[in-house]
Amino acid sequence: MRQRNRVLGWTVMPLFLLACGAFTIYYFVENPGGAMAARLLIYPNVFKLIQQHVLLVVVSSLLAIATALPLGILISRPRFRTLGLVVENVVNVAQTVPSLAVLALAFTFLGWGFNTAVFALWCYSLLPILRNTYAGIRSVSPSILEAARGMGMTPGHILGRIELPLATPIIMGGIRTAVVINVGTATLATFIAGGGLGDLIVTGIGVRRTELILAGAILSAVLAILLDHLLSQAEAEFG
Amino acid sequence: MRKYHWLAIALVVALTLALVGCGGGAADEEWVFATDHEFSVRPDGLPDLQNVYGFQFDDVITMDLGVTYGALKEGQVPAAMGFATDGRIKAFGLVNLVDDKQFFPVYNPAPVVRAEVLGEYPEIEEILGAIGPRLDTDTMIELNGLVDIEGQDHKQVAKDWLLSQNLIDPEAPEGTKGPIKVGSKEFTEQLILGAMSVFALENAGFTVVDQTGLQGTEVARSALEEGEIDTYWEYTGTAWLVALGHEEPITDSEEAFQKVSAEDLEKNELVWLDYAQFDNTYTIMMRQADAEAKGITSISDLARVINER
Amino acid sequence: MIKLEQVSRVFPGSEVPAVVDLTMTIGDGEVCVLVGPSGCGKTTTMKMINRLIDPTSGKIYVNDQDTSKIDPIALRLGIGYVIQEIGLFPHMTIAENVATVPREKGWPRDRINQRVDELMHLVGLNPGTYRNRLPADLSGGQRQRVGVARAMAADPPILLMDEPFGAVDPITRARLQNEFLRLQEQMKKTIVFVTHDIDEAIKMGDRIAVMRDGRLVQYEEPDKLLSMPADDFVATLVGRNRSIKRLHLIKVNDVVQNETPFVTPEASVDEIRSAMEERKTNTVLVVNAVNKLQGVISRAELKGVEGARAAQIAQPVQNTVEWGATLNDALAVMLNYGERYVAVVNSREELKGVITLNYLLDLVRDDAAA
Repeated sequence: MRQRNRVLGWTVMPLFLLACGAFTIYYFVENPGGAMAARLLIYPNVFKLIQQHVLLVVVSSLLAIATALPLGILISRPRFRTLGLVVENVVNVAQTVPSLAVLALAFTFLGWGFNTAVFALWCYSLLPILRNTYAGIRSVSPSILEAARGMGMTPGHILGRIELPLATPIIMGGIRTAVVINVGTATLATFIAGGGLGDLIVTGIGVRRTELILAGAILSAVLAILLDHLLSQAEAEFG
Repeated sequence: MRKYHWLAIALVVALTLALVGCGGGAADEEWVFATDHEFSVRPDGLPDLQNVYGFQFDDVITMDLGVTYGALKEGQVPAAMGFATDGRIKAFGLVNLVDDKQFFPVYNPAPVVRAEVLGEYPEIEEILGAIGPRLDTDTMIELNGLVDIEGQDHKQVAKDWLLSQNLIDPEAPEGTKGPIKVGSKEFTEQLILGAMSVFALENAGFTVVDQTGLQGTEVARSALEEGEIDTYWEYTGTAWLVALGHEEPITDSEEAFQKVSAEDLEKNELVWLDYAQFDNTYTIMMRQADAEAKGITSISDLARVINER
Repeated sequence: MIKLEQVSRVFPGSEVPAVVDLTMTIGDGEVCVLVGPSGCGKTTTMKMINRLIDPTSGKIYVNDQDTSKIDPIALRLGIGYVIQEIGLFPHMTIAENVATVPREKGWPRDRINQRVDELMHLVGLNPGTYRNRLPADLSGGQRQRVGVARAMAADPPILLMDEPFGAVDPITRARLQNEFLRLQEQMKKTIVFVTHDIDEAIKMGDRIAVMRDGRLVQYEEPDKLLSMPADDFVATLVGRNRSIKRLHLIKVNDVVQNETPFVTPEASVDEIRSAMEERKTNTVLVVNAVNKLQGVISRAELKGVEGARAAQIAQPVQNTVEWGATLNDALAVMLNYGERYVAVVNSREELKGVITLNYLLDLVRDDAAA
């Protein structure tokens, strides 16, 4: 039963979401609602924007995982505990900075383009992953850790076999939050020539074409749901 | 089981690297054009521009309007769009290409005065009408640049320029006439133009009520129509399309001025004084050195160079 | 052998030391119980042995080796460690939990699997059923058993047990204690056992170390602790009912009696009656040819069943204790079932005899008089 649900989770739901996306593309390309929107709503262009968007999200999220996870582990070590508390508070405050501001700041220092957009997204998605990694590891019961230590497990094994597996649900929660936020924030990348579905949305706002706004918004929503679903599947698989 | 997991992870990483590889390709193409979102789709924007001049950019990158100047300056694109009198054009070493086929609608600004006020003080026509003809595109770019890039006060910039043109005296006389209420919209160029009106009128012995910095065309225009202000600088193209509600843009400066001033006088009792030489419309820009090296001065040149590759 | 020499421990930021100048020796194969109120330093003392906590001063020797000179990981791998059931790793199966130390030691997979099965049998969990379950699927008592099995996985000569049976109900606890004592009889491990329950201490310990405010108050065999408490604190701790507490010290094995008559399942009513007359009792036990307890018959049940056989009249027996239980357990069962006796059976359910309430009363009375 569990096996079957897993297989269904990897196939049916993603296929359904892909079908939703495909239908959205088809619908808006066939009904662009005027010549202006039709200039953007052509198949090669929409696919290019989706590719750019996925790329922005995937690259920035992978980089964020690659940095925030080790960092979160580091600050959860007993000798950095005070640092951990500091980081936790800083992160909570930093999270209130609007994503557009992060993007604007990144632009000021790094100029325009895909790399800057990735950098800004990376900055912004570091925080939830870092916080959840720290919180997840700290949530492991002290008696479990003491049992592990008392039995002679090395610190590395305690981390790898006890702390990380037990913290996985919380860490994955952070990663999923980060990725979903990233899909939304990536629509802002268009302001600094980062491409992505934001091209459709922002152009749509500029020239008042609802079709453009809807196409961009629906596609990024579908993308967010798809990525979130895949991550939850991965969590069930590896967790 | 474990082996299969590692395989899955390897697959994700490989796919990502492949995606990154594909994504990086776009910037290598030769004629990439940086544009803001609106210009990329509007009928008086990029699509018809390419039709009229008969060429095609290799690729188009969309970004915020403010970003196009920097992208061009840094050399990541060879051509970009902007607004013709933006201060960055000079500061960044960029050059406007001549719209030799008069594709873009014209947006020459001119002081618009209520006919009632002009009836009372006919000398205003000469006072304000003297400013416009001396303002060409390069001058306006420079004045905008002094405020936007070098951070000078717009009033100071306006005053300095009027003084340099001998349009005002260093010390204004005591105001005995008026009062005249001067308005403007809220962006740099408008603030400078508004300040010029204020100083020129004060120099002629008017008491001036400074109402500059109004939020947008709608507010400024209705303030003028209802007599809350007596004059402000409006662009011919904007008045034609927005205030007078026409659909088809006009692409010749003189024609636009004639049509707008005639209609506004008749319908709204507003008088358009002599218009400025500069035209704050969309522009296609290149880096100056690059344009010179390639012998490009107009959009037709650009089209030719792109097509002859 | 574990030797503590003038060991003290002061926690940073605390003025009062947790352990003061503690010197004691725990002999090989001995169960040493550290007992005292919470905060008395018993757990700290235990954790200093496997260096979960390092002493501020003093030396600890394990098998004549100074522990401060041994790598803590290596030291701990040689010392089994049991804490309450909450110490099980909730994300690992029972088998994985039990295999923790062998895995750390890098045993080959076959050997680990074999050892896990062996240990699960030893603590009475069927590997086929429980191997792949998670701790959450088990009862409290079963989890405690897993904890013990996990500590013994690499067959360490020393076990440290921190309130290992603390989180289960009293009946289960008594069963676990008895099982463990039975195991210990075969294993002969050196055990340091921490508890705050003096009854448990008396039952489990070969020697009991009573601690108070970080100091060792008395270190004595249970019997002597009960008869000669060193001071008022120990006297209060062991309590007034010392003679009843001594019931913890006596195993049913040593005092089981054969006063209650047995009959075979085929016995007739007459035979049953005469058996009762012979021993002047009102009950007889029914035991089959291989000495398995089949049931019990009381005099009242003999009315109107003439011609029946013992097997048909017999009622099931519930008031039994296992071989190795203490007299205190026996008393608890009697009180629980309202009977004046318990049947003692071994692990194969063979009847070993009975213990009566009168016997217990006599014992306690003699003791009090002495």
